[in-house]
Amino acid sequence: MTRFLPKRLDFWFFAKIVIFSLFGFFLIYPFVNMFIRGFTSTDGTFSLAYFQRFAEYKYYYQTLFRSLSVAVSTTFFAMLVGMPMAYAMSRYNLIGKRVINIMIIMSLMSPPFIGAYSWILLLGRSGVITKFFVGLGINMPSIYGYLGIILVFTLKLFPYIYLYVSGALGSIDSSLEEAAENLGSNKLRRLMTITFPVILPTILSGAIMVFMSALADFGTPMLIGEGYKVLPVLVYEEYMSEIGGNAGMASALSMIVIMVSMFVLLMQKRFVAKRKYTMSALRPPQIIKLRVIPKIVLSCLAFIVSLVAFLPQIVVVYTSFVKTSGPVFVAGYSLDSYRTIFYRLARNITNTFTFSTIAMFFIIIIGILVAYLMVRRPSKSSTVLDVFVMFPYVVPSAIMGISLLLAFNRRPLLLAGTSFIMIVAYAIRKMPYTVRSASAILQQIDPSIEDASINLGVSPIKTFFTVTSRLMLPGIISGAILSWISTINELGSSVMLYTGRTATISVAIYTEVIRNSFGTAAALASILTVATILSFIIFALISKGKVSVI
Amino acid sequence: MSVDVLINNVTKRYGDFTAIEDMSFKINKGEFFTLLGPSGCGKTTLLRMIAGFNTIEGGDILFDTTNINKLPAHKRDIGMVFQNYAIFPHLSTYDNVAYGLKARKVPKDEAHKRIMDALKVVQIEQLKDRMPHELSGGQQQRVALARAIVIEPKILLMDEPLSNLDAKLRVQMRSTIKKLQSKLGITTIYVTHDQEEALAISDRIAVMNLGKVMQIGSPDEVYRRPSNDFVADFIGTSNFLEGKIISSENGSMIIDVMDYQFTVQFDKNHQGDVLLSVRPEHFFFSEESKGIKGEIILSTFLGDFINYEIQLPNGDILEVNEYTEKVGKIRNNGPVTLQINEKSVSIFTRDGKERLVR
Repeated sequence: MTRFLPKRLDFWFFAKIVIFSLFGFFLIYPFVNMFIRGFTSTDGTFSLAYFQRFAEYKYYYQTLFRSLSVAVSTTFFAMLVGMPMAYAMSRYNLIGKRVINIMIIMSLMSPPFIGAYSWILLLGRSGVITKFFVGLGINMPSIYGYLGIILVFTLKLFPYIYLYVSGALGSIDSSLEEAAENLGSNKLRRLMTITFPVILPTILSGAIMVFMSALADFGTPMLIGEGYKVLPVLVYEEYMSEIGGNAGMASALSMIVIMVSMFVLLMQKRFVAKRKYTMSALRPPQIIKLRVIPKIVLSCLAFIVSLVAFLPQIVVVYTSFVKTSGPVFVAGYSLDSYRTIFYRLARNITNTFTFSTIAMFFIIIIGILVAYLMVRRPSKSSTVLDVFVMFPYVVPSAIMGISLLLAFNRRPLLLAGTSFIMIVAYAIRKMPYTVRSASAILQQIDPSIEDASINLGVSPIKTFFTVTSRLMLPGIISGAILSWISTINELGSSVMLYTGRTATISVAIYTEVIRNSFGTAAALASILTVATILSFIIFALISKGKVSVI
Repeated sequence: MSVDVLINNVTKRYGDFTAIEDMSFKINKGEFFTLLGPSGCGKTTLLRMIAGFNTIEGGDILFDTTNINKLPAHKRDIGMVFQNYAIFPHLSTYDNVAYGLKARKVPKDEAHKRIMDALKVVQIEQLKDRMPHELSGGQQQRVALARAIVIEPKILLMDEPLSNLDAKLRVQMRSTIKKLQSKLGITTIYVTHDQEEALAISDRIAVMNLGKVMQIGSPDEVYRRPSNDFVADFIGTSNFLEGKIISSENGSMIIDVMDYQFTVQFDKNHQGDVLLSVRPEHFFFSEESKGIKGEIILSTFLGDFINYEIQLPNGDILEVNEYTEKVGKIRNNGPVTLQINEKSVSIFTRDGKERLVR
């Protein structure tokens, strides 16, 4: 039944060809090109020299161990924080659940490096808290390096675990746990033998998200890592120092990062495939009513954890209103930082929103078509398409930026430095959110509704545009908003691809922080945070409380 | 308006699997025609080929004299009622029914009149402004029906339209559909796996199995004169017994079943072993010694008749019905003798493939 050439040359056949060409040109070609570069020496012959160099010099290979160590520790701590939070929030009658929930989701949605930057403001060499303790004669451990990276990553990424696990805990039918109790299990035993194993695949999915994000992120270790260089930072530096020359080393390192992510993802898939429990909660678990004291204590704990995770965004907004004198914050409040950015960095702001809007346009159009092809026209080529669309999900965005640069930095394919290439990077990198949520909703739409429309005399294409897409709209919009939030906050590919004219807000924050211009950085970050919060509110309204950001 | 539908040598294959094998028959103008068979028999595949959702690669389908093989689904002018109704969830009852008329660019005034007529016919005019999620299953079914008939299609297709309704509503809707169809006189092709429903609603039934038509006939014919053991088994309840022809003369032959001998009129000449199929109501209890010996092991009172399970000496179980009015009381468990109403028995070749009696 599956075939590459369809029986009829209809709209979908041409849609498929166009989409394949786009992905082939802007995704496959750049990565194949990068792959070849990684194996080509400066004189143009096949060579393993870069990989040899990587294995020989500690300077190179230790970054891999560091990256893995950071990713593993982050995953561990994120689980340590996220799982109890999820359990407490979904099983007990805590006070202020809504607020706690929103703070946790917001900390996940924040720009990737704002955490690092805020924690430097708080715990850095001249941080507020550091100074306070130094005043008391206590020396704080350094926030820079391994410890800082782990702290920032854990607080930013534990929401993945929290969201996945809460979802799973909410979909366990209460009769399952009641059965265990009925068979004589006590609470702890029940938790360890029934609840935990049943949600284990979900925990792992969350853990994978944490692991991959920690492995791929480049802004945080760049800002707070200092001497502790991880692999994505090394890739960036190798590429930047070799620019104009041979980017082979950066390509080879990129390959290593991608291979590690793919390996981890495959392992997880294999594990989960064997343990797939489908449940439909007929009766969701009951919420246990705690007595007053334990309730207050537990609520406070949950509140503090979520507040600490949300703190960076409060700090950023606060400091954006603090008076500055050069790089130094001084007493008093002002709007100077905002004046400065609107005067000097207005272009970055318009760039961010213009690029993201255009990228969003492509994401929605292509996303709907891809979702339809995958769900309604399953075939070998649709499966390949699925892999193409999802591939950028496992590729750190900085590496994606490098691959595009390498592919399009010379005539006749000179696109580097244009706005277009940045929009391409955003569209490809952020497409998966929209495709996922569009195909999820399409799967719930009965195909016979489309048949009915065709049967009543409306052509298949018109049916698709008037009925199917209309019914898919809620799913498309909520997916697109997630794509949008993630696009306006995008750093990795922006930093690789920008030029003076095409710099975005996140690039500006990054360069301002590097220049110690904290006030303007804070004002820029506040704009992003507010835009993110507004988008998220729209998202929550559209999905009518059924908020799922994962 | 209404048309004949011709199925000529239609074949459908999915890889190695043959869903429809060289099928040919004719559905008459205005007829209520049912495709009946177990799941996987190809009935829905054929229906979707007629509707245009499955391609036709082998054979031809004709509406009157027009070949529709290459005609796209949206140009076939067919009304269809789907198993799960397929009501557009974002449109009100009225707009659902209006949908096909809009596609046909029917002027607004005329469309309004036709929509209201259709809603009246299916008795839901008071629900015209409701959204689908405010309607019950039975009401949604009526919307689907109105939406299909309002376009005044050449043919009406129904794909198990009653299977999602509860038993009582099913019987009610069944008669609604039947009355509506005979009033409109529209050629209707109805798919179901429920033999009782098929018998109740159809003018003619095509009994299908494994991509082939087993028999086409009126409900009475397929029930009383099944062409083979599959039809006998699938429609109603049948008891199968092995028998032997012991003599044949001038089209009348003597059959032996477990030493019980009786005479039947044969249609085709045959020798040797045969397979008999007897409906539960075509046995009768006999006081004579001649007959099939057995023992009542269970009796079930079912109101207008009593159902007996009778165990034969070889261990087989027969089902026998006796009308309550005829006997007045339930027989006790114990040995009995059964005779067969020889005019009503179906006799097949030993493999069950061919019917031998009229």
